[in-house]
Amino acid sequence: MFFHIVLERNMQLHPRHFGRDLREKLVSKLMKDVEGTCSGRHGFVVAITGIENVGKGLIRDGTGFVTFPVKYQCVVFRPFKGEILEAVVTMVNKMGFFAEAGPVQIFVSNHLIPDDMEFQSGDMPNYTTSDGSVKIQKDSEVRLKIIGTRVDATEIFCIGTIKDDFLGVISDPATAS
Amino acid sequence: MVRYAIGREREVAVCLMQKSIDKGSELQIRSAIALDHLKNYIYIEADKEAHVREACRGMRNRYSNKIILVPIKEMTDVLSVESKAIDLSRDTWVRMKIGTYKGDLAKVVDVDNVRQRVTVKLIPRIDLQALANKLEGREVPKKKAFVPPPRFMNVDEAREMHIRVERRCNPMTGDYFENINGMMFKDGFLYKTVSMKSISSQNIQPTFDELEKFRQPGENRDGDMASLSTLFANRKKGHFMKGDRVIFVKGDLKNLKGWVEKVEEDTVHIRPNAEGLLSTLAVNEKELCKFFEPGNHVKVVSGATEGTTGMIITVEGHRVVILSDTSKEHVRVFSDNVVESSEVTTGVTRIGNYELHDLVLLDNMTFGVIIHVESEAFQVLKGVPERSEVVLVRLREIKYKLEKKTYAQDWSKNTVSVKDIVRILEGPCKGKQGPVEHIFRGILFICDRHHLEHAGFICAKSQFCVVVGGSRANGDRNGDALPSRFTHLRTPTHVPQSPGRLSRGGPPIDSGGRHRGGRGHDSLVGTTIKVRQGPFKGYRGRVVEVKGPSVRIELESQMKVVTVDRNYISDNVVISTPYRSDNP
Repeated sequence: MFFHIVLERNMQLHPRHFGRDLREKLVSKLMKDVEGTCSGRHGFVVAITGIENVGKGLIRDGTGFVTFPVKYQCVVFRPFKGEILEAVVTMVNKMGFFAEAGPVQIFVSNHLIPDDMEFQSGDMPNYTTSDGSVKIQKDSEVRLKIIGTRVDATEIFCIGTIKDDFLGVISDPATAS
Repeated sequence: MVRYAIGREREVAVCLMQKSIDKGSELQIRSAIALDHLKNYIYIEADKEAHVREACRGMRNRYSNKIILVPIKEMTDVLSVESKAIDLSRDTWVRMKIGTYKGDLAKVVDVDNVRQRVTVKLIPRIDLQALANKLEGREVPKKKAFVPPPRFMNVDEAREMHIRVERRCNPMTGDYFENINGMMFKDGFLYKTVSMKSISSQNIQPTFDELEKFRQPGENRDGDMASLSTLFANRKKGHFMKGDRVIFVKGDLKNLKGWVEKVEEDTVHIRPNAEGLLSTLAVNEKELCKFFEPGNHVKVVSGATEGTTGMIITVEGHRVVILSDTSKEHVRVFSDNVVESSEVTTGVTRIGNYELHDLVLLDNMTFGVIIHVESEAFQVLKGVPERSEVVLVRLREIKYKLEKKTYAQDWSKNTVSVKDIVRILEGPCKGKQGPVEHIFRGILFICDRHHLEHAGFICAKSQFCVVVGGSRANGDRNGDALPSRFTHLRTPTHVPQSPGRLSRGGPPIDSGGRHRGGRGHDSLVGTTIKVRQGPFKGYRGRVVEVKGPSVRIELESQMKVVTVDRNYISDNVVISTPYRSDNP
């Protein structure tokens, strides 16, 4: 799920950036630092949408670096248990397949793939139904439900299922092209 | 209580009972006990020795008049012995103590208490070829101490080898058995009648794999009960904890779920998860089993995979399938052996001096990376680039850890060092890409996190790899990609470099991140270095510019920019003399 929230961060700035465009430097550094990172509590920071306020800078002894507390608005993405997501399959193997929904990696185990789909190894490993009408392979788009999340400091890893109504392949690269 | 020497213990005891019925209160003894394990003696309980003598007068089978008084201390032990008697019942797991099947797991199918014999179900270890030879009377030089591996009996296979297979019906049970050379088979299992003495039934902890083998494909979930009963017997103390989710597996309340409220010895107080029931129920812990749902994050607390953590993928009866956090592999365990935990571990990561992902020397020729640590052994991916070869080695088989930092040359003769990202151009893992973890004798061990086998490690010849220059600069989000080129010169561990005092003043991201995409010599610009020689020796600073053989450095401690010979700085990317900067 996406959230638009306000976060705070202490930014360290090198003295050589002090000047007219200090603020721009600060913002661009913030973006560089924060966008794409992941925190266990808030999830992935997708984009910074605005700066709320920049606090007073504090000069650090010895180095000349200055610390600014910056409050910024950002869009974060955090997967939840039970959430339905659409994801792109990145890898298929006999244990199941990995899919990515933006920055989140999701693993769907073969136990959580409908029983009528079987693993076919080969050049392009895939899961196919017995009649061959549905195929999950690399780059397929699937709709899945998250059943568990593991949140580390730097990564969110989920396991999902497609063994439910209305879940499964939503577009097939083979048929689309 | 008095001991009494005699021949047929049971018989005498029964005689005494008969006597007491006949004579009524005349017989002044209180009880008589014959114990199976105690030969030649029976116990008689009486107030006086004379009463015992009186009662035993005229008994047959008496060899001696000796009567021994049992000391008061031992009196209670006489009868408490009974509790030690093994309760062998159907469907219990036992292990064979002797013979070909020594140590094998077996399931009790029938118990004959009178003759002290049990019928057990085993996975046969039969060498059909040898059997055929024997039946046809051929003499074959016998290889000694050869135990055939356990394998299900295939009747058709036996027939093909001209072994006579009879199909017989057991008159007692009505079941059909295949009879081969006096051995009984059913569904591939061997049914064997053995003496109770030749099996051990105490502390049997069947491993998951063993139980899986015994499980027949058609067996329904209730078939678990047998295995469960044994498992329960081996539960540790404090198995259940407050807050655990449990499910009833026996009795009227079967399949009721609830939460543990309180644990007292064997009794567990449960708050059931159903309307119209008491708020708490006190039940025996044997009736309970832990319960999990897919998605729970758990830790394995006993069994072969002890210590592994992962997320539950499916729950099948009382087994759960866990996706291990580290290896991304499926682990099948009993739900009884796991606890809910938010912890993420790799399980055991260290035995002795060796840790997971260490490069070790096995003997003079072979070396490899530890990819998995088991309870007493390591799995090592050997440094053979043609194919991935994994061996299981014990601690003592490892000579030592290889920590020396070396370099290798890639396809285009560029220097490859540890942490560089390379792409494999040839061989079975062609196209894979990842950071180099170890280098030894021109062999690279590359860690690709998308590679699922061998904990992501790939072994490749350095000549068949190419350093990926571009992705080094922008592939790493944390910005430690640039300094990574020389981290190996300073820190033996794989911790991303945090250049000395700078780490206090500013995050390490500062230096690398700002100059993303820099290539070649310019990659030096912006990095923080230390001057190693010359008048500015010991100074630290930021590289402003590279001018041919010299660099201009903005010193950290003084407000000036100085020019220093390129060879005088410690973080020189030109690795012409790699060892000279080992003393930064």
